[in-house]
Amino acid sequence: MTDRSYVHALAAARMITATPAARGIPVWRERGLVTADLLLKLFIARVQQFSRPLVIEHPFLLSVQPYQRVFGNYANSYTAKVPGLDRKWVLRPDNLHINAAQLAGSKGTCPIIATGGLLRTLRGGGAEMFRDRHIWPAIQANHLVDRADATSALSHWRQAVEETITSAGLPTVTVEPAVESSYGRRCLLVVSCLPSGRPTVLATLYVLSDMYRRRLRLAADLIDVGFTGKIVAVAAMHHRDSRGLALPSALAPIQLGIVTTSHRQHIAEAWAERLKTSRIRGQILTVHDSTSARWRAERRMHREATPLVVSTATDVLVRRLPVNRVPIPPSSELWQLAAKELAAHDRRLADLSVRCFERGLRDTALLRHICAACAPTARPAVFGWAEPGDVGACSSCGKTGRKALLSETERFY
Amino acid sequence: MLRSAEAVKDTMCQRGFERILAIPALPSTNNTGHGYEVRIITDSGESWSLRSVGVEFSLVTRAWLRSGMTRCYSLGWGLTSGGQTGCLLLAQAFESDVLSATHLGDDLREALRSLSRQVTWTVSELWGRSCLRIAAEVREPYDR
Repeated sequence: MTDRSYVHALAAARMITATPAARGIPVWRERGLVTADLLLKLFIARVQQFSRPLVIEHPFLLSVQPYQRVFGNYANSYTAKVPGLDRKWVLRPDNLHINAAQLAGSKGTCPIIATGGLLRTLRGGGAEMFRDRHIWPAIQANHLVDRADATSALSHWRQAVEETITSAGLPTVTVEPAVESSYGRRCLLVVSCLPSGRPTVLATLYVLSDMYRRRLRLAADLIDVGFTGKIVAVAAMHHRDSRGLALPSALAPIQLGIVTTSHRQHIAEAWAERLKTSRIRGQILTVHDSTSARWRAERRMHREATPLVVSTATDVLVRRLPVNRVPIPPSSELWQLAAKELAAHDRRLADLSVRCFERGLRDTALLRHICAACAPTARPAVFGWAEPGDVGACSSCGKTGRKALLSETERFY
Repeated sequence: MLRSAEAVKDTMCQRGFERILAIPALPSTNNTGHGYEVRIITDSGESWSLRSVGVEFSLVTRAWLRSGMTRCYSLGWGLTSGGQTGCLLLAQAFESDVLSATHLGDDLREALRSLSRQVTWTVSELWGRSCLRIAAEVREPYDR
């Protein structure tokens, strides 16, 4: 990862600090914390369409034995004795075993969504939100299901994850890797792409393997779903213009900035009140009554990832990607106009990232239909099969095949 | 977050504090000077500090201070004398003089008193300013 411009954009938007606290430990600021919380809420809302999850953050110091019983002596975690506490602890590297223990103890059917961060060792260089020591936010969901229901439950979780990532303005394709994993009896990877078109994994879903199920002492199947702040990082890579970060409305801490002057403050406040009732996140910025002051305020709000800015002085609305000004029609209600403009903003963002996706995967034939006979000799090799299955003519022989993701490398993240 | 945590956030926001992520552990050797009071040595031989009650901590770097982050706080997991809590407040503010910093400390202690089990604070000189550090164990059940 050499292009760190997404880090600069996130720092300029005051979502993270310009420098990390230590290697692989980025510091999220208020606005970034709000965005991460919005991402979590989007996911929870999707999950609530098929279940009633318990959302929880576990303690950071965990007993070593239950962890090692499941994961063995993994070298990627930190263990230590802690002054004032009697035993040895592991600094939370995973939520799986505690989620599973809680699910088994409650014998409930409600899944658990664990939030917070994970701490893992980091060899080599890091890249903020891609490869960190303190991985935050680390969202890990676990769901205990009967084996007969595992496939349909996994499908529900896949849709929830895909819809969450789509809300971040990113295209996805979910694939089941061709090479089996010791971790999962079934494994799905939700893949998006970098602006270069290179595929990157944004979420993982597993039905745990019998080996791990036994280690967790579970009779039923366990679904394990995980994603991190990498979604925000990839969104920041795709969604920028000359003014800086342009987040999709679902993740923007402020959706509509209102630039006003002291003698027009009452108009701004009336607008903000109406926006609140229509659940649009607005913010007023009061400036001196001069064109340059208004422009500076507008630029600042855009730099801080605000999709739309309006001015009470000029009655214009300023869009992003591209930046352009449209007059607010005298008869229009601002919140209705804002809702329409936010939807259009999201479509523009999604269209741009979909173009990268198609250029990187479809146009280069890395995502294409292949039949069972041609798959073993395909070059690049088949990395995984699209889920849900997509049937079409094999790009090599024309026989019936399935859509596959091909990759030069055996593994990618 | 539960009610007390939300009330703490409001209290800090009203006084111009910006929230930052509560990082639970930091390596002792880092370029930014960040750290907490409780130190541990991991089994791999590395020295780390754990987010903990006490005013021997640093949340802000000099560069961040120069960029205008003069008041910030974090709220989240931490070690207390009784074990682990999910709601430990650590805040740091840089004021122009000792009197302003002391006044802010007094004001925060009063505002946080009803929301916290214990509040400790100190003022010292740092980078040519008066630095207030405040730690409070917020009353919350652990699970949330």
